[in-house]
Amino acid sequence: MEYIQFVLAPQMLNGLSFGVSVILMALGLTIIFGLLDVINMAHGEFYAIGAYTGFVLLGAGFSFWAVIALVPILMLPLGYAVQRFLVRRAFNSGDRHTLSLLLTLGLSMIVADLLRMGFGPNTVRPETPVKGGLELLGIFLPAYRATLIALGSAIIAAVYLLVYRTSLGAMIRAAAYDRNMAASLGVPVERVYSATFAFGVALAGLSGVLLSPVFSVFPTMGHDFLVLAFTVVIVGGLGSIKGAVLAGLLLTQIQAVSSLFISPVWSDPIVFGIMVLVLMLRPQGLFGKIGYA
Amino acid sequence: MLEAAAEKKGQELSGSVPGRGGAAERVYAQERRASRSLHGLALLFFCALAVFAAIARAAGDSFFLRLATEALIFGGLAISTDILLGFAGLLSLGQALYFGLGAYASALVMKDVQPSFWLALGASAGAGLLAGLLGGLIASRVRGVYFALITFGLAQVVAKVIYNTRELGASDGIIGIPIIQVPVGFATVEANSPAGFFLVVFVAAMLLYAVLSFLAGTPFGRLLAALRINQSRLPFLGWPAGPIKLAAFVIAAAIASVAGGLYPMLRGFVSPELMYFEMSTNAIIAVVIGGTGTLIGPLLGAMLLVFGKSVIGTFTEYHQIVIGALFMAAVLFFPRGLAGVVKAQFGSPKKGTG
Amino acid sequence: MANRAPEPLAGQKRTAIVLETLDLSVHFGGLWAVNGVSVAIESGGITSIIGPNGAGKSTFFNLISGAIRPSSGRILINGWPARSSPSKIRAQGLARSFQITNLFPQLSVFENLRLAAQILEPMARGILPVRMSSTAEAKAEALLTRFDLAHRAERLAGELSHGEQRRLEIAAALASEPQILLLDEPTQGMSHGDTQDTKALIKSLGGELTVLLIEHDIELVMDLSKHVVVLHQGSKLAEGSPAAVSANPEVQAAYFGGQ
Repeated sequence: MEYIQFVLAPQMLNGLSFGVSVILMALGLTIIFGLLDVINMAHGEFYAIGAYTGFVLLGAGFSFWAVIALVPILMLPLGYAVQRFLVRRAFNSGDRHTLSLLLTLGLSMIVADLLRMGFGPNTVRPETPVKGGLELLGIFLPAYRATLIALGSAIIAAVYLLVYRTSLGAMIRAAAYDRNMAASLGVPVERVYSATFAFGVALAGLSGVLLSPVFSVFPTMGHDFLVLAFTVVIVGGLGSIKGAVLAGLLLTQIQAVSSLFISPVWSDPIVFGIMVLVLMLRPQGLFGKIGYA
Repeated sequence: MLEAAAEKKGQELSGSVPGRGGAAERVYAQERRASRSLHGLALLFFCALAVFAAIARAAGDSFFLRLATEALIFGGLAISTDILLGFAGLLSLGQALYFGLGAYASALVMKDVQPSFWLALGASAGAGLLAGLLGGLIASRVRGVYFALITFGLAQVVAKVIYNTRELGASDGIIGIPIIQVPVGFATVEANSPAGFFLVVFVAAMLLYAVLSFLAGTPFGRLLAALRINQSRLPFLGWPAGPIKLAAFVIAAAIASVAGGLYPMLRGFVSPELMYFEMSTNAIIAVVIGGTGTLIGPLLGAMLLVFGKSVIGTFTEYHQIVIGALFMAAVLFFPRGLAGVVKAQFGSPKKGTG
Repeated sequence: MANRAPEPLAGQKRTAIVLETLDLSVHFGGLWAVNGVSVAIESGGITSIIGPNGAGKSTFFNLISGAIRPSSGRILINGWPARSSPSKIRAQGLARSFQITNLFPQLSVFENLRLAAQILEPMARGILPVRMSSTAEAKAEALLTRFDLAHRAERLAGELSHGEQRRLEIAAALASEPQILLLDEPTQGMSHGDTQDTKALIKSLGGELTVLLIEHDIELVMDLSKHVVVLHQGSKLAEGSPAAVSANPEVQAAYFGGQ
């Protein structure tokens, strides 16, 4: 019982706070990936940009809560620009997947170096905005982690509502399902795509800000995270929000709990192994539909 | 009866070769034209390289010779990437994994077993075949995006494991590789002789190009090309796509590994960076800039990339920005790459009528 | 409503059944695209599968050629169970063409046929220069002549006219020397002249091997076929000689009445 209270539960809750942020990142990816049919290899860089932007804003004196609101807003035009001027070119070609992958790959190289140029290779770490700890049902948890869980869940719920309960969301889903049909029904498809991409990018940036006090900020922070995000997307199913949420929770919990028993070195291979298994047994993921990619 | 009549008609048309119809002759002539332009480019490349090496040797240089050697070794990785991308139509984001594995295998053999050239390369080849088989069994069941992501993930994971393995040197890798003697016929070449080792790698590169060019002209090579164009039809013609993809994957992995095996002989160390995403990405860039599906393209691109980085590196340490920008420009505006442009220019007959 | 292939009467000579399906079914979502179809195709000649749109004809072909797995039922090729993948089914002697041209547009017409014929060569030839695959080459040449594509041999398949592409589609299916040939709407989109030429071609093919034909051109079907199977909403509605089928009131209702 004590084990649960002092070892297992905190670890699971930690995993949960991490999971919530991973889900935010994966949501952006799955929406871009599944709905726009575009592979955004630069997604990790947007995560990093968000973290760095947050760091700068914090340094400029903004409160953490203001930063959480500001960073996604600032990232929206960036995402829009990338989609409008770069991704859209790949979109109209025949080999859309390869092309968008290669283009965003090039972009990620440039951005990574730009970040290094601007901020140096060293790691920086913003202060934990909510200090101290709190007790929840006898389990001790750092306050910030609890905040993460609460905030992240709220945002995820908001995204779900947006996509499934609003007319904007309906337009996005229509355009994803059948572009021409949606266009003939009056949906401004090009703008919907740009908006969706921008939205996905903003989510990545937000994820970066939220996790920066936990994992620090450094130029290549996006890379490892990207593998995990893609894994979540694949396991959950391309384009499925439900899938991203469930897979994100599942995988981070597996990671968190398994690290209690085996060396953390093996947590990545385990997660990757799950992705491979899913791809081989059920390639459409938990909730995806066959036909994507 | 119908076949015999048709064959006879074909004979009448061709005249020259008994049994071979006119249509086949025309098509072969057309295909020859295309491949000749590429072989011509390859000849130019190797000759220019040889001349450059001779000059450098005479001038007593070692830096540029080593750089060129490294470029050719990297070119092996680029060719490996191109076999999958330009021929089978599969984008691998983790080809550096096999390069790194080959490098580690070679390093371990030279350091802990015996400083023998052939033994080390044999170990690299073996590592490549084995890893390629395992990786291929996983990756070749899927294609497109999933293939790219699986190869990406595989490389990340293994690199991380090696990074954390103390026995393999962890993040520092393995250093202190002894300088070996490369037996070349009746003489030997010292691995740390810039011109000598360059020659070894140069010959290896030419052999690789020759062998792969031969394969491209076999039905197997043609099936790979067909795989890229329309994978779904192939099984209905009698060829299951899976085994073909697996074969291509294993071949590509073995080539990358053997190329990697040469690396510690040149540099004297290996490190996990050899497997990193950046390495795989650079290989893709070399392939795209040089020209996918042309075999000489990746070698060209590798040479340009390595020398380009070196040049840019003297001005700024942020060369990835320039490379990344050039890469994106190539993808958008010159997707055929250098060799592709040569093939289109010199390899096609008069257009239009026919 | 016949759901089982008819048994031969006692004393009657039984012609070889090259292709047989027993209660074949497949469903997608909640819909039974093919529902309990049992047919027995005799060797030689042309058997046509007809039916209104959505009747399940192409799905039926997909099942037989191994493109999709049945939910239930069996498929027998020459008495043996059909294997599970398209390449293995081809090895059992069954080849097909596609309703939407499904070739290699960036390869030359000749190469398309040569590739399709490569299966005739021993495996070892696969890693020898292409010219040594002389059987495949000869086959490609023969097909070019027979299908009147010789003058387009070196053109890219994607550059061909629609009619030429449909011809190439059939030729490619024939390249592997199958016993059973499935033709999925071969004259789709063809001009009248092309259709007549193709009709003659299919007729001659019917004399050499067993042809299974999906067609919308009823006149063509009635002219060419020795046997007709009518599908409707996934089930077999009727089968028999062309005359018997066209006189069948249920068939008439399905085609001309409400669906």
